[in-house]
Amino acid sequence: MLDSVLDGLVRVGDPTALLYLVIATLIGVVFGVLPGLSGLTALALLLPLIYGMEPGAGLAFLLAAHAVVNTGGSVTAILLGIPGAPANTATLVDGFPMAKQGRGGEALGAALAASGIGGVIGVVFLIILLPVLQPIVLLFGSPETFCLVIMGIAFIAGLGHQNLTIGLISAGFGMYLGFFGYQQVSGVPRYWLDYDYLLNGFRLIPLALGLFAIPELVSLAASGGTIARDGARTGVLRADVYKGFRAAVSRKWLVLRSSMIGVVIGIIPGIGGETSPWVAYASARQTSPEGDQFGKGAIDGVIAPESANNSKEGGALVPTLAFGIPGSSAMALLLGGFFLVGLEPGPEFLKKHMDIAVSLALTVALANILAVVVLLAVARHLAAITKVRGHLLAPSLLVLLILGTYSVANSTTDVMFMFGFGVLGVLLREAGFNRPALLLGFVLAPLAETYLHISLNVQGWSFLLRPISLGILGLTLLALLWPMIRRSLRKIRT
Amino acid sequence: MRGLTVGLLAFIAAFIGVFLAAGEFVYDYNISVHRFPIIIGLATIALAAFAVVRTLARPAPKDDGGENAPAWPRGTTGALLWLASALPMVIFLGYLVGPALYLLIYLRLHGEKWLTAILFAAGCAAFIYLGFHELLAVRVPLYPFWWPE
Repeated sequence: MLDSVLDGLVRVGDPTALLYLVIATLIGVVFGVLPGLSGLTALALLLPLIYGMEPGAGLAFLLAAHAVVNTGGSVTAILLGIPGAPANTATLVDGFPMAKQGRGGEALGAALAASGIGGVIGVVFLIILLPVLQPIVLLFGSPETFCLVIMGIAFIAGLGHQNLTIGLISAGFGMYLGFFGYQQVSGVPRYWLDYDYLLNGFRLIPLALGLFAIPELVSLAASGGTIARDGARTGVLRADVYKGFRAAVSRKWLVLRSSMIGVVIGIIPGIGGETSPWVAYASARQTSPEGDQFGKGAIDGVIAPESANNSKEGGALVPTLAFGIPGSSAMALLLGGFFLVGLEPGPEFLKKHMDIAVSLALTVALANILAVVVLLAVARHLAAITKVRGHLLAPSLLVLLILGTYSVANSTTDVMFMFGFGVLGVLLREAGFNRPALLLGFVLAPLAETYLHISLNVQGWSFLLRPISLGILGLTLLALLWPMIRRSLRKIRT
Repeated sequence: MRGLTVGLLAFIAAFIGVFLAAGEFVYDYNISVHRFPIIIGLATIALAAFAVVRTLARPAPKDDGGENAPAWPRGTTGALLWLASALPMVIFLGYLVGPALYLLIYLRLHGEKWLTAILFAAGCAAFIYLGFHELLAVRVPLYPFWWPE
């Protein structure tokens, strides 16, 4: 393991990789500051650019941008009351009141310190867990992995969305789209309509960009004006920022506990993103000496969610790297990035490429530290980005989308499909469908089918009765039915 | 939004149904090729049918169609059309002139000054040629498809 850590350090220390990391971190911070453009959009936009890059550098490029979006998002959440990313909503509850009291700089400093430390703690746990997981994942054969894939899809369909039925339909539709083109196990092309493009099925990048980036650009173009309200005060004093920074560092147990919450929730597929900051916030409210001040401008209410926000990325990488099963739509895109550079995460990946796994973990840590340093220096002015008009941003980003999509396979057809999926993405968003479940279903459908095929050939349907398979399926059912069980229990009690 | 939800559910069910039928009756896939799509497809269709019935069975929300209806966000269709208009420009004018001209027209017609629009268009063309074509060596088709070789 020590060798892998050293190899990982060498990989991250490579000047080209460092340059990519710096560029990606800056892009991630800017995306975080711009409300509506989430880490997922950043990943989707950057994904085509890694084609042809050295695997470690390309993946580091993606991961660094994604890992720091929430750090950037805290700036506008605190100063303007607009969460840069959905996960920053919990930060807003106390951060914005602090800004209105003239303590915006303090809140910002605390949020940045908590984000940075939380991000590093998440990585430490990831590095500790990776060698422990290696022998465990080897116990997982095709039947268990199939059940795990189904669990991942079911969790994100059910737990990340209020409507379980709609979540499952979205996941099913995504899986069905994933069946187009050559079947992996037999090589038979399915549903290709005598159209050569469809022989390889729908492509991940046009689908991901269409489903996630185009709807955001449409909203940006539709709003037209600036994101920040006219006259909004965005400047803060540097001394206040450092005061907040010191406050977070001095509350080490709060930061550690909140980060742990983030790591654990991040590992569970489907609920990491927006849930972990709220759980950390609730926990801090229960234990903080200033609990009665929560919601009115308590600094602990800023530190707790920001720690969990960034530490969850370390947790989310655990199932992605160890099993090849992404726990969120962002991780599904990262998985797409792995495929683009010719790698396949999972037990074999950990055995052969532990150095890349470690270098990715270290990338997240470095990106978090770098983002904090950058933001400490420029946060006072960065919120001014929100004064850029949507009319300027939307078409410019669209041009980037077009070029990025084209460059993956030099295909204008990909660009056309991106627009087609974009229309679908807008409709699905407005109707409240679960787009992350759709994407995850699409990415995992071929994997699930292959594992099912192998399991059926070896054991028939009795593979579902193996102990680990039964345990996973039981856990999945319990988690999905839990809201109904809880309602019934409440009724019985009353 | 109830109509949109029902419409999308019907579209998803019809889409899957058509391809399932094609797989069975046109392509005539054997069971090992079509087993998993059938399981997932039928389950999704059943869930979509259930969701449609449940949505329609519920009384229409009081605000449906009224003043407070959760309406299609204002400007969304226009914005979507504006963004989609980039596609024909890129296809017919190539990846250099198309995006630049698109930015110029878009920005001018959305109230930006000529100077801003020209700067953005020129910056875009320079970025595509120098950044993508030369630096990243992504050979985007700079000329339109009808341009003589």
